[in-house]
Amino acid sequence: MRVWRSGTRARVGARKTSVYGPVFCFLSIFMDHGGMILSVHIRKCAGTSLRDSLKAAFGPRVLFDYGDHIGSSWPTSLARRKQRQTAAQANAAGLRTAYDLIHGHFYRRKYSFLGDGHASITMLRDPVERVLSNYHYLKRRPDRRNPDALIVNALGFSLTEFARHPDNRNMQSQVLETSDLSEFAAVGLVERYEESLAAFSTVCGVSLAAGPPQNVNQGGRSDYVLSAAERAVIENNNLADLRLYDVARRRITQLSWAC
Amino acid sequence: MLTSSNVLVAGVSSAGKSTFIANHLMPEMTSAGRRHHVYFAGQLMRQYNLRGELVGPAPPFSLARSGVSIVHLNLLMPREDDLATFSQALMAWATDYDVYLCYAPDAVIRARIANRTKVEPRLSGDASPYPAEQFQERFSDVDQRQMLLTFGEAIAPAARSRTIVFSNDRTTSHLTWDDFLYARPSPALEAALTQRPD
Repeated sequence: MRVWRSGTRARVGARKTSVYGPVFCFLSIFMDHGGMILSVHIRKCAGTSLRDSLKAAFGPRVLFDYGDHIGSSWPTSLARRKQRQTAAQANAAGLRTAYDLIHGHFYRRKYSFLGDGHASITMLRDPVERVLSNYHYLKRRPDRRNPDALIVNALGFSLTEFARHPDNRNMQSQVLETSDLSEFAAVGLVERYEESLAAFSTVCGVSLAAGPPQNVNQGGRSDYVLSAAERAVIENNNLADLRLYDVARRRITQLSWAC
Repeated sequence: MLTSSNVLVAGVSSAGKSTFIANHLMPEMTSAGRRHHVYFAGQLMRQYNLRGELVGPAPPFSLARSGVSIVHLNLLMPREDDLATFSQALMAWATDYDVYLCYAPDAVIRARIANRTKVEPRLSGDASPYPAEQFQERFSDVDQRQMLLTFGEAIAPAARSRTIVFSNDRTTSHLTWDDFLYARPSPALEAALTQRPD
């Protein structure tokens, strides 16, 4: 079992072998990673709620990495990511020393320079629901200057136009840079948030408590009325994400990641 | 640079049509020594039929065959059926329009309608008050982007060029039709969308 480098995380290995039974073999791979944990936050996948849980558990040893403009291929976004990637790589030693976990909006491979010892986790969401949520989130924030917000609020893109835009197709697959999730130690589902948090707790070696949901539409789901035609457009532009989501759903069911 | 003798400037109320004509087109034509006249769509609609034939009383103007004719079309003014009819009339009159479709984000339009006074008196001498409440109500009933796309597609057969005049706060830039339609990432489009007032 892993011996934690810092004092902020509890040792959890032996107890879990008995609690998780058949799940253990799968989980043990994750718990032996011995390095940094990378938590990839895809937009509108409960990452802000997860952020609060991670902050409470890891304190100053969690780094929040936002600002890469993930899912944007606009020129300034590409340049920005390159610059931030270079800066992160230049600070590799500092990252290893100061942090146990990095959580935020970044592409999975961003921190590959940290070596093979790290473990990645992420949360997926039903792709249609995620696109809907993202679109309406942006509509509610006309002052945002990110490229995806500008096409919604400055150019007035409709939901289906937004879904067809290259940057918004298969966003989850784009950011996770995977076709089967095999690179991840644990993958949660927004729709099964508490179970997912339990799986993440195992990987992280700490108990992550679910706080109140953050960054959600205070108006409820009334904006999310979806016609069959709109649904078809979103699905047709997110086929890879639908496959990925199905993989995650089957794995979370078969392996009972949850406690 | 204008290439045609016929120019069409369309957009919803407060999208910047009259400002664009007064501050951009007219100075350009004046400096090029070209005669020009601005025709307001509402007036044209009352006096010409679908084939571009005069049907009403003799107008104080006629579509110029020398110099440059500029047609100013407020897309919020006519009823939907009238707009379709007028589009056909425009196409009957000419098939070589330089089309400028004026667009601003919805929030910008709403603020402009609420705060503005008429620009048109500079062009037409019409000094009647700006009907802000009426336009706010009309604007809330329409999808500006969809309206512009629909009109832009309808007029395409008679357009030798289509340009989106995109304004945001106090800055204005030109977008291609494809930029507006697809928003494929590019330096030019990004510069236009992220522009801020001085």
